[in-house]
This record gives sequence, structure tokens and C-alpha cells, in this order.
Amino acid sequence: MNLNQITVPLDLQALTPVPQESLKSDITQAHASDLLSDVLANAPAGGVLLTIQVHLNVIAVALHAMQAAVIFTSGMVPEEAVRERAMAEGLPLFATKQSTFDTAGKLYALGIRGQHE
Amino acid sequence: MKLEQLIEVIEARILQPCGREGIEIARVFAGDKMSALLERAGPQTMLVTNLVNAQLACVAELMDCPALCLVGGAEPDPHLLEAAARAETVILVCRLDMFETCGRLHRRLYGDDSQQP
Amino acid sequence: MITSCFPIAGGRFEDAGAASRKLKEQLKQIGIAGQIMRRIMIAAYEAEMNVVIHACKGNLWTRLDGERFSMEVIDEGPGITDLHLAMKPGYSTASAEARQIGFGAGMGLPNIEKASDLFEVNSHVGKGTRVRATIFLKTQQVEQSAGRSLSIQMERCVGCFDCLKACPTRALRVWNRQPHILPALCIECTACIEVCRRGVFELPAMQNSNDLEESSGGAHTLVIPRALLTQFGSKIPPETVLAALRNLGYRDIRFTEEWDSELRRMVRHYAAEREVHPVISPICPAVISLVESQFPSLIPQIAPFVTPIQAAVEAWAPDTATFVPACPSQHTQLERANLSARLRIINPAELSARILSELPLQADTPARNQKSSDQRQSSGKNDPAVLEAWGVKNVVEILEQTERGMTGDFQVLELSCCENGCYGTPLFQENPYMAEKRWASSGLECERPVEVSSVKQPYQARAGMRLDADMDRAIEKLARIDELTAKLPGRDCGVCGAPTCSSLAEDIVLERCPGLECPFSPTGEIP
Repeated sequence: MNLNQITVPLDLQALTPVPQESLKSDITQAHASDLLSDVLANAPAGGVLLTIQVHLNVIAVALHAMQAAVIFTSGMVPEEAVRERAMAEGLPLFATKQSTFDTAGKLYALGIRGQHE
Repeated sequence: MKLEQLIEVIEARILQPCGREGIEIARVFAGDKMSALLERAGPQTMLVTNLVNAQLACVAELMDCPALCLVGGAEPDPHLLEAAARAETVILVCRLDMFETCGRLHRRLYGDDSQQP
Repeated sequence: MITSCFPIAGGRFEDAGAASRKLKEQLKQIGIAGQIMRRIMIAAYEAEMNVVIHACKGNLWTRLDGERFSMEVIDEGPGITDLHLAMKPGYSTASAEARQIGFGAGMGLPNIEKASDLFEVNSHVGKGTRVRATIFLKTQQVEQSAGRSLSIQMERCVGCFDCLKACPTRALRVWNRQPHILPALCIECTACIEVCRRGVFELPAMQNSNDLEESSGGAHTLVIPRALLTQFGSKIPPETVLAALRNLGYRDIRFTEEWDSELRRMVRHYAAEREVHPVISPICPAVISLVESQFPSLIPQIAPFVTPIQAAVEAWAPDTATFVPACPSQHTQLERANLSARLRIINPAELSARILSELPLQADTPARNQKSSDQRQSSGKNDPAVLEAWGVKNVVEILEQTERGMTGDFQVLELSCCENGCYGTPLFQENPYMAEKRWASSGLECERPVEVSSVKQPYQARAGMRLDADMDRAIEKLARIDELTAKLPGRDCGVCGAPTCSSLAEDIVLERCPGLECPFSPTGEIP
């Protein structure tokens, strides 16, 4: 599925414009975590990241882990500086008032999967 | 839904039984920020987290939360097990990552109807 | 009353939380449970973890009596260098070690404030920090402010009785030529202020009047109703008043109506997703009070957002902004918010007096600004689904119709007690339409990105409205009231000091005042 096919049914709020490039990739996985060390170690490349961590470091980590997009859940929204950084790097950011659990549930229903250890 | 029914869908293992496995779970909260877990923990809530430290048991005890699920195949801190035993909190470990765990639990709790909750 | 002290060791994560756990054991034995226990636990644990993460050591002092739970966490440690930043959600100075185990989200102090009814934090850099929080065990402490935002100048009353009829909830009485407000019935609209020609009703004197002298220098924000800028006559345009305010030391001036616009957007969006129409907008706090006390069946139809003035208050950390209420109802909301944060509130009349002293003595009528910003853009006039109405009589009528299900063709009700919204508050002298036109011609903007949050506690029916807590006695009292009302002339003349005959009957049965009687009663005496 491409990014729009995920974000539109979930009614996610786009915090940054979505670059055309991003719509080309096929997304089949996601990772949920608020621990940046865990994201670095375990998030699957090309997946979307679900988190409530809005610190600036989350952008660098998401890029390093080659995440297709970041979804901030539970109504958390990063500051302007964070959004600007993401825009500059072409990393799409989204937000939802729903919890990580509910967002994961809905993405799962669309066919997105996580990982076994 | 009974805890036992949730355990089977995520292929989890009870690390430390304490007789509360038949308990009713009405909702799940997933995250790694202690403040958020504190706020959302409650008598019919199960917490799902990447964290493994003993403070989880403290939070569970203070908020009367019956069950903690540690994901990603993590090994809990021995202090956590001790603290959980005192607090009578069920500790589950699961080899699935947080996203997969949430996805399956959500589907089990709310069915395939992705309008919930 | 029970007082306790639980020590907290700084830096040790292994037994962190022990103080909170011991507190919980104690409170459980006393029977504290449910929501109160949750709030206490959140406040205690967050405060304890702040000590563990940031300080060397500390103590959790607690006090519990029948009415409230209070705690104080005092630590010895580095202290907090910037309290404003510390209260900002997401800001944290926790170590990497703390963050790795899930702490350092930057929500500690804000969550303690959210969980408690009264909250205070003080700190000395290099010495330590003290966090105080109080949680009321019953909710009525916070509810008792009805009627408190109206102050009565008894000596000005001439006994004309105009106010009796003006009050939409029949909350006024005149006994012995002294006006009285029945707090349980008062919704703090402005009807009595509007109608009284002698100035009997006013806002109470406010503390913080000398805030400018206390202000710690530098930028200070002032939040005012737009109408304030239009009160000084045709020769003093809003821009001049703004300049005068800046001369008084307020660098940044904001308008309460900035939050009106955002609230309107949110209410419309909310109404579009609801099945039951109309949705009642919380744009006027007095209307909310009216619904809570007189139309409780409509409470579920109130959009669950805070009022514009509450949203304005939430936008600033304690002590960084001054607020000017436009009416008693807004004043009460500011007072309630003041319980948990030191708010600066200034009386509009006093501020106007200070502005007058700063105004230049010029005599030219300013040229009308050609560009007149259409302030009505976002209001209800252009939207057929939104019913906008003003004035307590209209508001009551519309709510009565809504109770009967006769207003379902509207999606949103935007009701205000004052004529033409806050322009019509009697606390300002200018005609509400002239005031609005002056604002519109000024070209000043009040559209800004702001946030309006959801209510923390849902709107709920007002306590103290029932005749008696006991159902049987309430029924008995009702019967006596009806019986007595039937014996009275039924002219609702007001001479007895109550607005209607049934109000007098109610006053007598509920024993609100000794010696009440009807001077025209055919029986000549009242039991």
C-alpha cells in the first residue's frame, strides 16, 4: 500500500506535505516505540513509525532507520522546529488523536504487519 | 475479555503466574513513556511496553493494573519480577514486536471492524 | 486529620516509588478509592520520581482530612532554573539513563497540575524544590462560586425592583430594600447589571490590581475583550487605546475573541459528526451555567470544549499574562482557574480608568479606515445551520424550544447572554453596535492560530437545585409550594421582594428569609 492508502482511511492529519517520492514506496510494515534506541535497533526499513516521542531526535533516528513516515499518536504534535527538519529531509509526518494501540489496530486491519523476534 | 484469551492470540508466555490470569481486560494501552503508562493504567487495563524495568510494576501497583506485557522478546529485569510478585501483577512476555502485538490484540478485542473504538 | 512523612532517596531507581506505595497502603485503609485515589497516585508518583531523577533526597509530606488531601514534596537538589520551561509539556532535563527506562517525558509537573485541584511549585536554584498539590475529596468546593462574581452595592438600591424581573433564573430578591442573590440559582449573566440604573451590581474588587508594579519587567501579556478598545468615544479609535495600553506596560495585547473563532470551527466540526442536533456552543459561560442549572437535559448537547476565556487562560504559564473579564461569568471562570495558578485579573473599569489617564488630549475624529475587516466572516450570520442569538430572554426561549425538540433544524446554537456578544456587556458603556462597528473599521485583526481544548471534567448538572436531598421530603415541599402559590394573588407584582408569587411560595417553604409575606394576600396571613 502506498502512504495515502494508509493515511486517508485512518484520517491522519498531515503535519508536513507529502513528497511525491514517498508515494511511490510500498508500505507493508510498521513499528511502534517511544524508545529511540529501540527504533534504531529494530524498526524495519521502509515501514511507518508510531510514537508519542516528539523530541527533535526522533527525526534523525527515523531517517537513520529509513522509516517511510512517522505517525505521532495520542494527540502529541511536535514543535515547529521538528516539523521543519522533517520537511527539509523529505520525511512525512502525521498526527492522530488516537492512541498507539488503536492506530496499530487500524493499520493491522489494513494489512500492515509488525515483526517476530 | 479474559486475559487468557488475549494471551493466546499474541503467543505470549506468563512469566510469573499469580492467580489472576482469569481477570477481565477491557482495554489495552501501549507505550514506553512512564508518565503515559501511569495515566492510562487501571484495574481493567493491560499495559504493553518495550520497557523492562522494575518501575513498571510500581506503576501497575499504584494504579491497580493487573497485567503487563513485555514485547519484542525482551528479558525482564529480575527486580521487575520481584516487584510484580509483591504487587500481584501478571507479567507476560511476547516475542512479537509492539506493533504486531497491538494489531492482534486490537483485532481480538474489537473484531475486524476497524471503526472501533 | 492524618499527617505523614515518607522519605524519598534521590538517584536510586531500584526502590523508587516506595513512598507512593506506602501512601497508597495508608489511603486504602482509610477507604480512599476510585478516581480520587488515581489522582493522588499520579500526583505522588510523578512528584516522587522528580526527586529520584533530579534531586539528592526529599520527603513526601501528606495531610488528609474529611475535605481534602494535600501533599508537599520538598527536596534538596539543584532546583529548577526556569519554572516556565519546566511546566511546559515535553520539556525535560532528565538524564539519558532516566530516558532509557521511560522517564523524562517532560510531563511530570504538568501531570501533577492536571491531577490536582490546587497546585504550586517553588524552587531555589542550588537548594531545592517544593511541589504542593491538593485534591478535594468532594467537588463542591469548586462549585460554590455562583453569585460570587457579583458584588452588591446596597446603599445605591432605591427599591425600584427592576432587577427582580430581569433575572432569567429568578435568582434575585429584594428584602428590606436590600438586594440578595440566591447563589444556587444565579448564572452570572449580566441581566441585573444591565437593568439597574443605580449601579447596584458590579464585579467584585479584584486582588492583583497593582500587578504592573509587581511585574518582573519585560514583556507582559494582556488579554482583553475587543470591546474594551471601542469604549472611549468617536474621537479615540481602537489603535489609540492600544497605544495607551502599551504605554501602561503591556507589550503584547491579545483578544479573548481570538479563541472564539477557533471554538466556532471546532464546534461546527463536532456538530457535523453528531446525530443529535442542535449542539450548544460553549461560547458564553453564562449560557453554560444556565443550561447546567435550568436545562440539565440539554447538558449532553453542549460541545465538550472549554469556553474561550478558559482556552485563553490555558495558553499561558502561571503569572505571565493578565486577564480582563467582560462579565461576572468570565470572572468566575478566571477565579476558578486561579485556584491552581496565580492568575492576574484586572477589573475592566479600573483598566479603563488607567487608559483614560494615558490617552492624548486630541480632538480630531480619526478618518474611517477604508478597509473594514468583516468580523462576521466566521460567525453564524452566514451559515444557515448555525443559530446565533443574544439576550437572556431569547436564550431562555430558545433553550425551552430545544428541550421540546423544536430546534433540530439547526446544527449549532451560538447563544450569548449579552446583546451582540461581548460587545453588549454592561460593564462597558458603549452601545454594542457602535462598539462593533468601531472595531470593524479599525482594521485590527483577531484571527490567530490558537488552541481550544476539551473540558477536563464534563459539564454537569448543578448541585443544590433540588428542593431537598431526600426524595420524599422534596415531593412534600413541592406540594406545599403549589398549595401556597394557589393562595397568593398570582399577579407577580414583586412588591414582596420576590419576582413571582411562586418564587415567594418557594422562599417561604424553603425558609430562605424570616418574615416573608405577601402584602396583598386575600387571606391576610401566610402559614
